[in-house]
Amino acid sequence: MGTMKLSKCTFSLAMVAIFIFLNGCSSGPKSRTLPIAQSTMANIGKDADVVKSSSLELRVAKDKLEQAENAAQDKENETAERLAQEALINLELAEAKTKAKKTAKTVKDMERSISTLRNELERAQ
Amino acid sequence: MIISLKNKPLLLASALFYIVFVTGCASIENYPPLERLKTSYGQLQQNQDVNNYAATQLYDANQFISKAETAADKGDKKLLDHYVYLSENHLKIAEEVANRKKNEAYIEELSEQRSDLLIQSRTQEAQKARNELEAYKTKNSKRGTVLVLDNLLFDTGGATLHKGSQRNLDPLVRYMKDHLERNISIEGHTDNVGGESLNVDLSFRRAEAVKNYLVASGINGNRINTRGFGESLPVTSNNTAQGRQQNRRVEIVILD
Repeated sequence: MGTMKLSKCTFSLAMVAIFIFLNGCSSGPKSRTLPIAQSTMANIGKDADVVKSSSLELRVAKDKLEQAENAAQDKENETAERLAQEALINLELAEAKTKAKKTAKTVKDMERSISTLRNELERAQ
Repeated sequence: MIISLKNKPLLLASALFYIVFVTGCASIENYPPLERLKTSYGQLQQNQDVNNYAATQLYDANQFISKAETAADKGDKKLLDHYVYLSENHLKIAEEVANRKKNEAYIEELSEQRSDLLIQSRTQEAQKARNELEAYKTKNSKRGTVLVLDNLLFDTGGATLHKGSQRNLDPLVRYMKDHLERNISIEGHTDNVGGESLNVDLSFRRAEAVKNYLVASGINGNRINTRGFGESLPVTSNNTAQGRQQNRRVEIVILD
């Protein structure tokens, strides 16, 4: 009986140990993406075109980056890494969107100038 | 017994951890955000532009879909949400990149079109300018091209331009409208019939009459100078009727 109880006790302790171990493990190594997200933000966040045409993505990226930084301070490394990745992808989206908008505007401008030229040519004939 | 009782809460706690752990492990199936993501991925894969221009981004999105599926199998909802989020954003980036690259290709086409049109327009302009001034007798002077209008009819001794002669000025009007950078000087001349000061006055009023017609046709008066030279600068002898007719003239200097 005594041995049975002892083994049960050992089992419980082992479960707790496993849980603690797993929990501790989920913290993982320091975030590798966080510094990348920070420097990307420093570059893209200043770009006036991005600020103008992708303000939402930029805002989300800023929030995520801030959360990532807080998580990193609290040593929640895995959370920090995920949030940094999410911030970074928002920055990439902001950049892609801004470039696409700029190109679309160029197309519009050129179409307008071509149609003006065409009209002028026709009128002159 | 005492040991066992003491350990009861500990047993319960570990059982609870165990349940949580096992439940957490159960795979997540038909997770709506993941299903939606896969649908969008399928749609973009069918999209020719995205396929042509944003294959890398599409590939990245797919990598994260696989990771999301693995996370779903493991029952890790947080990680699943994370990968779904990344994949969704890769798809959005794919669309933006495809849009941009498609437009960039179109811009190349447009810029070719535009330069063609510019060449056409320049050729046409040069041709037109030649045609416009072709209607006039011209001579060159140090001050620029001079148009010699000796076929303008005015009332005898007066400065009213005949209706029929107004048409002679229309090519000049067109020229001035097409060349806003050009200014002109209108200079009146007479033959030697009549007093000299009267002739100076008459030639000036005739130059003014030409200017008035141009202004009435929409040319800015600031671009036009007028002068009257009277009989002082004949182009030929005043001895014959034909000579006198040639000397009664309006000259228009296209200023450089």
